[in-house]
Amino acid sequence: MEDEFPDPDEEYEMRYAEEFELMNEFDFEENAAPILPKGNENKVKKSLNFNNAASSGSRPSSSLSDQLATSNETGRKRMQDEMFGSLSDDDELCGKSSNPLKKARNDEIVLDDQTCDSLTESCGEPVAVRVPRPKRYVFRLVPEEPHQSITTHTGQKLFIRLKADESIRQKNFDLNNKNTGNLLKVSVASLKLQMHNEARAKSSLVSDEEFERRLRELEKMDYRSKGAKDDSNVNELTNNSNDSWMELYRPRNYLDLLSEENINRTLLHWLKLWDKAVFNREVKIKAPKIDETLKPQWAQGQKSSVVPGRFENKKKFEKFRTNKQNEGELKEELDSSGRPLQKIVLISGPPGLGKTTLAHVVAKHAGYNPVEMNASDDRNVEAFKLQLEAATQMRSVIGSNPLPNCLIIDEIDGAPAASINFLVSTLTQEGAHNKENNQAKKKKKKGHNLVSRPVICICNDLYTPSLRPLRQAALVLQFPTTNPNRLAQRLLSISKEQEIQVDMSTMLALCEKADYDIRSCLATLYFLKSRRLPLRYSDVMNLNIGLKDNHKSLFQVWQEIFHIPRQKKSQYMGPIEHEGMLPLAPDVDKPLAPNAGNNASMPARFANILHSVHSCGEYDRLLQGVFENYPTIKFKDSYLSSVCTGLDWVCFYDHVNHFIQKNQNYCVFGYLPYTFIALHFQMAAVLSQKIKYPTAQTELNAKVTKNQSIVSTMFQDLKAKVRITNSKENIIQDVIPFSLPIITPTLRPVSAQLYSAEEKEQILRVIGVMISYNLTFRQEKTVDGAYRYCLEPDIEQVAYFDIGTVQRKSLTYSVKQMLAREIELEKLRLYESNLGPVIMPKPLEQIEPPAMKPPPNMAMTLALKPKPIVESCKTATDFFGRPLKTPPKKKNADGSVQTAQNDVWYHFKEGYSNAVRRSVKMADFL
Amino acid sequence: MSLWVDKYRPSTLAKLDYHREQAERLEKMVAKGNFPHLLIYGPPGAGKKTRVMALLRELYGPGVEKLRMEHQNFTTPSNKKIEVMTVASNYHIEVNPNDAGIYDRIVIQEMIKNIAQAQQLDIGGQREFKVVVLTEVDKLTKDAQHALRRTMEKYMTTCRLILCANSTSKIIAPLQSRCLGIRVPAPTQEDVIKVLQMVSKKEGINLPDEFAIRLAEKSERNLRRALLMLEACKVQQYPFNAKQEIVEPDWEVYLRETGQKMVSEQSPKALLEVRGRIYELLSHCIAPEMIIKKLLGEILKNCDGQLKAEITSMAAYYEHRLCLGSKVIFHIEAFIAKFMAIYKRFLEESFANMM
Repeated sequence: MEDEFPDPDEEYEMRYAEEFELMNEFDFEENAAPILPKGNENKVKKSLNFNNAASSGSRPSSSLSDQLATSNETGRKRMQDEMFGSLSDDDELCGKSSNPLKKARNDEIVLDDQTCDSLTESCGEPVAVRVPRPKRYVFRLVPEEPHQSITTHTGQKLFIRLKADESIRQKNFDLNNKNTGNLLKVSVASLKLQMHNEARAKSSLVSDEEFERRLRELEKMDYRSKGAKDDSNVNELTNNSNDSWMELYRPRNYLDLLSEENINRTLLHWLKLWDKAVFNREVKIKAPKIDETLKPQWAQGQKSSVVPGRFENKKKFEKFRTNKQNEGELKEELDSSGRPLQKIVLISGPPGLGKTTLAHVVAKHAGYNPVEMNASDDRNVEAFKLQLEAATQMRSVIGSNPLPNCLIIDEIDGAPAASINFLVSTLTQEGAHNKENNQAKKKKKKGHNLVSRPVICICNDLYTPSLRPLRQAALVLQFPTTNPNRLAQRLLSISKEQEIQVDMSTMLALCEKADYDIRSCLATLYFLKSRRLPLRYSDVMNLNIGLKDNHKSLFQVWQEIFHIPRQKKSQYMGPIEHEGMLPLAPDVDKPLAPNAGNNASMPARFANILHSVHSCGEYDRLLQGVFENYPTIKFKDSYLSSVCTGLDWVCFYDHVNHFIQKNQNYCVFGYLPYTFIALHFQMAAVLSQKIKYPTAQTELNAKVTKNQSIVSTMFQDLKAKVRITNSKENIIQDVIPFSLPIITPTLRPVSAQLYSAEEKEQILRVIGVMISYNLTFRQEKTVDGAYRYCLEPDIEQVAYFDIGTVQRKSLTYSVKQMLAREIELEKLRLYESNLGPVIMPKPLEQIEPPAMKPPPNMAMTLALKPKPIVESCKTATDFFGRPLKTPPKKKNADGSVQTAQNDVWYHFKEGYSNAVRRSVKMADFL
Repeated sequence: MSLWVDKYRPSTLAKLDYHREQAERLEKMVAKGNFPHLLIYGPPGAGKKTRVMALLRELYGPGVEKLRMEHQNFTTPSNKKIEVMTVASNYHIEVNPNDAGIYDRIVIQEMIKNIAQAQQLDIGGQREFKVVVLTEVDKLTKDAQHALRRTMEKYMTTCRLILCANSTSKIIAPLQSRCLGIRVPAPTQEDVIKVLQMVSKKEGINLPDEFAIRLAEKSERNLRRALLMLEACKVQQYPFNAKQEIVEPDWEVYLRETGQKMVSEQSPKALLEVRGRIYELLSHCIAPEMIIKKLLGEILKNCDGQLKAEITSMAAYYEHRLCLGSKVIFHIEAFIAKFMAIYKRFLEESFANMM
């Protein structure tokens, strides 16, 4: 080894090591060619460069440079030796002596990471390593490139160059990179690739990616076996890789479920209650641990969710149970046929929480075969019936151990109401049987109609109108939102498998952004995975995809409007870029996301409310709710000033809305939501309060239409002369309120015949008024069964208010009855006489239109005149009620003499009138 | 037999009890034979319709009083059938276009055109024009009013229009300029008392003067109301006692109580209660403008000087905005809240001053 002992020249050089360092650095900077050396040509060129540079630059010791220049390679080598010689002085960074170096000029070693490592590991002998000029990795002084400082154990500081991440990774896989610094001729990576290719060549069926994937999985096998998953999952995973992640990571057994323990347990417990009916296993109902009678009086009979209380089993308290108790409370009792009291369970909750999964898993766990029916199936009543029967009464014949079916009806809130009613009625059918006292034959006859399998229903919106009967008959389980930590944990494990680098806080942010919906989290992760980069927090916050179209319910928005949010600083304070999605918050340059920054600051509240109102969209109903509920909210307001401002905004909304609807011009529609922001700032309180659904407006509308229709009915049949002078407004305001007292005269409570002349006149007047205003009395039956007369049309409803102080007079029942009859008669009379306005039957004083002839006398006989009135007001009439125009006229029984004297005559067929007609002979008179 | 209001209504211009000069002028105008379109306006109960009928009778004779009710059917452009009731005689026709709701424009265009286009056959015996009486024109939509003006001009020879309204503020200027405006003011209190006395004499009942004065005051110069009150009081209690309680419509009593509540307590809770009462009134079909007016009358009784002016201007402001919007309850409540705010501050200040 020639190099083992330094030459005298080298000795000299060692002495001036620092200067040489400097020179070297100069050289390296000039020759900064970052590309990895590919071939020898480069190196040759670079060496030339070096020579040139060496000659051109001013060096502290020119002799040295000459020396360097002349002896080309030797110089070079020496330089390198210098470099590493100085290192070797420190005798720690020196690497092993690399044997092949010496004169083998062309054996060039690229000093890559591996060699660096080897250098650092060993110590002792100087290493003469050829270093390609442009790349230098270890520096004595602070370099300009990104670097990392290292302190040797002797205290000397050295700097090692840093590389960017990509280059590291790429370097790993860059097979063109001739890693000739290794012990192997070929790098491990290239060997691997060779192996891949060979294997691929062998199995041509398998695709490239899949192969790689499988390899990767094999590599990670040991990791997974340590992890929490079962073997079953592994098997699933090595199946078709084109499965969506939803399917891949769906929990397969009970322990993997992501939902709350409560819900899982309740559902499982309910399913177990069916064991008696289905599997004929005894169901254990937990006996109450505490003796109920030992509890204090007030605590006895208190409901707890599992333990049946003292009063629960009593049948007579059944009727006091409200429907609310159905919700979430599992009734443990079994009915007479061994089935639980609640035969259906209804699971409800927002989408993506795991309801369907839960149902399937629990059903399988309890030993059933789940049969699913969802919105893609035909769900009219016949199809429904078929499915129901199929699920509950049949079982699969294939397979060694056929499991009983459990029907899972998914997305039931879209099913037609008729089907739901059918479901409820079939399931509660046995109710009738229970009441009968165990008559065996009856049971047997109808036994086969009973549904003897559990039915699980799943819906999103619990308060759909069509689900009302189901809600009352079923056990209602409301799905709580997934626990964020659990969800994040699960997602972390999934992403580890899928090779996405992400940390916990980012995952939590992602969960929150996706509203804790598992599906959308998985979808987002899937999307992000394709980027092949580790997921950073800022990525999540800037994410435009994966955001659900948040439709907020009315109650949520109302709560937000009336509630000042408590100060909750969110973690992320940086700017958030959204592509024009959110409006600009005031005095903030960048668009403000709802959750960013300080939650309770004015701009944040502004943006938040605006966002919520936009997402809800039903402005009219929102305003109605705010309007009706704001007086109950306890906000700080003296002198009612915020109320005034708020109401002014409400009026503004009304004007804009009126304009929009009148002109069909929606250009100003965008101004409507700002009302809610103003209302929020005026009327929000710190405490959150209960909001009622607004019903007052609809009630008002209903009442108004009713009253208006009453007035219209009255108005329509008014006589022309009356009508001409009255408008509807007048009628409502003046005529009706006054006419009511006018038509209720004070009459003595005696029978009709005993009325004095005055009273009779009063009655006549009343009748006249009522006829002219199209009023009458009508008999109707009240709720108690009594009869009463009320006005028709019922203007009392229109006129009378609920005032405590006013005394109302009304006529007695008999008087009203009489009046009703009289009105009828009078109307008939009028119709017959065909006169205009209502006239009293005083023919002599009438103002008749000249065109009309006086009615023929016979017409008078048609109307029956009531006796009392006739007595007082009529002119003398004969026995038949005809007015006596010519008193001395001879009358006959059938009046044929009379008719002959007039132009118009009638001929009646009067039927039997034995009482009247009598043939009289002259002989009788004599 | 009908209410005294209808029974003692004068049927000719000569028999009118008040506004005699106006009546004479109308008679002369009719006697000349030609007269323009008329726009008769005035407060309710002043006698506008009475005068219209009297005028018609002057024009056409007593045949005008033979009235019949007719249904007229129209089809809108959107193929909706609407039915409107009209009162007609041989010489005139009277219609309220608001019965058709939002299709009043159709009513005007179709019907009036039909009538106007049919020329009178017998010129000699009658006037050459027919008369169409339109009531409640201030409730017409702007479209209908614009449709009307063209019709008015075109068919002047064959058809005269008599428009009745409560006030001219809602009638567009072109219509006002095409008509001769006749304002029928409300009768003075003496006029009302005179009429009451006349009616009671004809009915043969004894009306003490003091009672008559009280009645006239209570009726607020609305003669219809005065006569109705008289009749109701007579049915309730006769012979009349001077101190007798006068029957009032329920809704007025209710409104008065509401006003008192507003004055007594000012807080969100009181606001809620008052709102409930307003809902009640609205459900009984009381017009919202009337509500504000009566409320204002009630609360002004409890205010002094400068406050009165402020609150009145507020009432006018909110009533105006009420007409521009669609949900009246918002505006009424805004007015009530504003009143409560002003009044509360006023009370506190006066307390502070007293201390």
